[in-house]
Amino acid sequence: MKKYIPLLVFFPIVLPFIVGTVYSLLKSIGFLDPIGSLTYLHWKKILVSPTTYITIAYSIYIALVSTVISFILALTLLFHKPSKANLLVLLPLTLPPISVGFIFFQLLSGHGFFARLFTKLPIFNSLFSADLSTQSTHGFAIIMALTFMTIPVFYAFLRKIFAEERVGDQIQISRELGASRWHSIRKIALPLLIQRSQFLILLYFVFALSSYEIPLLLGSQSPKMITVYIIDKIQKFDLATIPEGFGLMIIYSFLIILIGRWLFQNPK
Amino acid sequence: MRWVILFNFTIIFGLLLLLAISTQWSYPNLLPNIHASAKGTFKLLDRILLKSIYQSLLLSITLASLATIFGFFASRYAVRFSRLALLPFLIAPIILMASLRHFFITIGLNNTWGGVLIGQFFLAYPFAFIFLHPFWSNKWEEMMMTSQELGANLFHTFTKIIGPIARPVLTLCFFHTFLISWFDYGTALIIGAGQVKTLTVLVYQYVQEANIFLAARASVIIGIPAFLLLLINKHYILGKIPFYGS
Repeated sequence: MKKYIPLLVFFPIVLPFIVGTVYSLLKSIGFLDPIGSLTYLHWKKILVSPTTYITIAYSIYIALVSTVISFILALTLLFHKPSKANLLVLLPLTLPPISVGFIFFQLLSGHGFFARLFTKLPIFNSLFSADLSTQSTHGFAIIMALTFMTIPVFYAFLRKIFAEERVGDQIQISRELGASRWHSIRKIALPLLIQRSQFLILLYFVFALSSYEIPLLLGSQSPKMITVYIIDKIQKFDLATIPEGFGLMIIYSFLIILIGRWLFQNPK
Repeated sequence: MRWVILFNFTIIFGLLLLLAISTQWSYPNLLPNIHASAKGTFKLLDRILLKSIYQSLLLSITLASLATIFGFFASRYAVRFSRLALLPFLIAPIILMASLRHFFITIGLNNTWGGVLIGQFFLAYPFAFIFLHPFWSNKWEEMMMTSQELGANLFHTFTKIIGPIARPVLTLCFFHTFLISWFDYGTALIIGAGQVKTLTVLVYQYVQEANIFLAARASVIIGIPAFLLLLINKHYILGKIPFYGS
């Protein structure tokens, strides 16, 4: 009996995922389909359609850019002297993604805060030129919102490593030995910090890939982020697109596991 | 550079707070209008919002207690593939729930608070598992063994010995799982199917109704528990760090 306790403990963790995947797989090949029979046509449709690839590429682009930018900004924050404003840096942690999406929409949309600010300035005189970024195909607003949410996490984590590895002392020593400030940061601090935070960077890359609320509120109609695209396909009142949505779900899960494989293996 | 970031943060939170206490934001004005609207009445919270706050709190507290308790006992058992517990985090909750919705409908838990609770449990339990796993070192195992050899039963061992030791970790885990539920949107949307109105669902509903002031108010309310947690944990998160040159 005691041998099976670990399995029992692990049951609620893995079960939803396995059940969900099997169900989506069955659904995507037309099994359990009220209007059709067993077919590979849905998969053919998914794999032939260019939208699938565009969506995946777009999601990866957004996740990659936002993760890299927020890491760089967190590093910039770290290498300045700390001040009383620390709590302000952590404040984004107090908002859920849906609120972040909402407030960024109020800031960036055509009638948002920045649009109003710019129309007050003489150089921007039309509403159109002030519409910054929501609904744009570059996903500018999504990237900004995701960056906003990720900076505090990276910042807090980097600070911790900074203390643990005594990076400050190391920089001090290298400077006493004659290195310039920039040189000592680039050759000593950065490699150390990046190496220690690989896990977190990858984790947040996947989080950004999986984000739903922010692209829902700030994203364009086309291309969409993959999560929004899947939910759109499933929630539509068109029975024909539902299996496609489930097929895409399989592709998405596969993608996540492919990227996350490194996370599962790495002991640290 | 740092000031640019901090300035932007100030604008974002400033606007959110301003929106939360105002009633009007007509187009060319830069800032929303705080004065009472034309109707002359100013109600900060409406009935739906109040009800939602109360229900969300209840849901989140229940979930946090359940996940922490189960996670605590479960995390004692080292499982070989315990890293797999990361899986529910990597997959977007909304996608996971969309693939499970059929089963929730079959059981009849769709549209109910109980269903949302179970759905969120699938997210919060793995978190508690990972979070509490490092607590169980050999030292505590041996202490449990000792107390049992000295005649204490399992109940007493847990309440008198392990409980007090684990209290700080458990409190932290409770708050984190509370926030998982408090911030959750996907589960409440898919399993709740419009019937379960947690605060996050309400925010989106207000946004769709173009009721930005109520959305801002709901957002601020969502932020309050997290902000309190942040204040308490500030030193834990940031710590006192010896910086060079300061």
